[in-house]
Amino acid sequence: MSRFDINKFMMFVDGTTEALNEFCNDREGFVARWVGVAEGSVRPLPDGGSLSAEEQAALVGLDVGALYEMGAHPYILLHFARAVEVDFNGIAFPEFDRAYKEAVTPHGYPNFAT
Amino acid sequence: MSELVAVLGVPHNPLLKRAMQAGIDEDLRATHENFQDFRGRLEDARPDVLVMVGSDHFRKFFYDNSPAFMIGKASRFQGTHPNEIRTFGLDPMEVPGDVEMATSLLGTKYLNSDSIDFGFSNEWLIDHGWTVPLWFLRPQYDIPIVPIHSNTNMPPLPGPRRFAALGQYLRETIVTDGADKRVAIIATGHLATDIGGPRQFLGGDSPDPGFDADAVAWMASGDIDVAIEGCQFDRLASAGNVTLQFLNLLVGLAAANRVPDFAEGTASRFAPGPFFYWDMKDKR
Repeated sequence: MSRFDINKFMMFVDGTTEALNEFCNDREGFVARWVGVAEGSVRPLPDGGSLSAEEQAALVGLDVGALYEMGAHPYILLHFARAVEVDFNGIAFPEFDRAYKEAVTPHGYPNFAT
Repeated sequence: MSELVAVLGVPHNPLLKRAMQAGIDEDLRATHENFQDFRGRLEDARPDVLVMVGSDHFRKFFYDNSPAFMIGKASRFQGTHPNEIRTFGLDPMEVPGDVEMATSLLGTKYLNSDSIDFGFSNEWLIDHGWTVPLWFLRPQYDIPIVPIHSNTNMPPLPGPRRFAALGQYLRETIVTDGADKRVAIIATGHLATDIGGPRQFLGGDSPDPGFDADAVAWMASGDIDVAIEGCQFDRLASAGNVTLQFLNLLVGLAAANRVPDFAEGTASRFAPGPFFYWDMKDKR
């Protein structure tokens, strides 16, 4: 697992509305392209990275609890999830916030150091 | 010789701007009044340059390139990033930069033995850590800034003594340079704040009221050693996952090096915000 690669992916998606729309319209395809760019390539990679199967599943499924437990940076995770659920899907913030807290609370405060 | 005329410690919560744009609700009145008061104090201090110490939120400095302390030495700075415009409702803005002051603080020799070992950036799109305090304190965006980034978000971080050293260095360098400018330092960070964790957005409650009381008391003591002693990593981290940004406020205390004229953890709709002010005119 790589906290760096998880954080990098989430920042990229949150970073521009174009990337956010592209991810939200085809999560599996977006993640597959992201991972494909990294295969056989040398870093730095502006639009790709290595993600394990577990990490890919958590990102495609927007599994906030799993990503949090993996050590994703909480600030980055919140804004990634918020971008998808509030900015793109139009869920009201209080409803999103309630679900987000329910997802992360069982995991306490995981280590998110690099 | 330049003069340090004021030191401020303020919040930069990006949600404040949208919440306060349409009018001031009761749960934001104290925050609004503090910012109004600080804006007036800053205007009265007549600064020629604002040295602004904050922390980029992964927009400019990410895990692929993360300096401990970084000075922006551009002649103009624009803000902010597309996701902050989309999510927080912030507006694009532009403010002049003071290259001369930035260069002085960075160190003018090829080999600098006595500085903070800053990184530097000639091209930097600033985020809400700078644009929000400016919007509240100097919405004309007409006073040149020198933005300084510190890594308070991506552990491992510089320790509290390094933040104190930065504040002391800023004061000493400002008052000994030859520019003859009036300088205000604006440091921005958090009291106890959880973003992305189980204690985020508690409807105005703090995730750790005990930390807030302690932290304001450290600042109110005017004693940087008391504040350094209090700012141990575990204590900061247990108070919420972005409480580490409190370290930036140590820069303000160390730069002022005395009891503040105003020190308050101000309750609001969000986690309480830090407000500290030192009037430095004729105090050097």
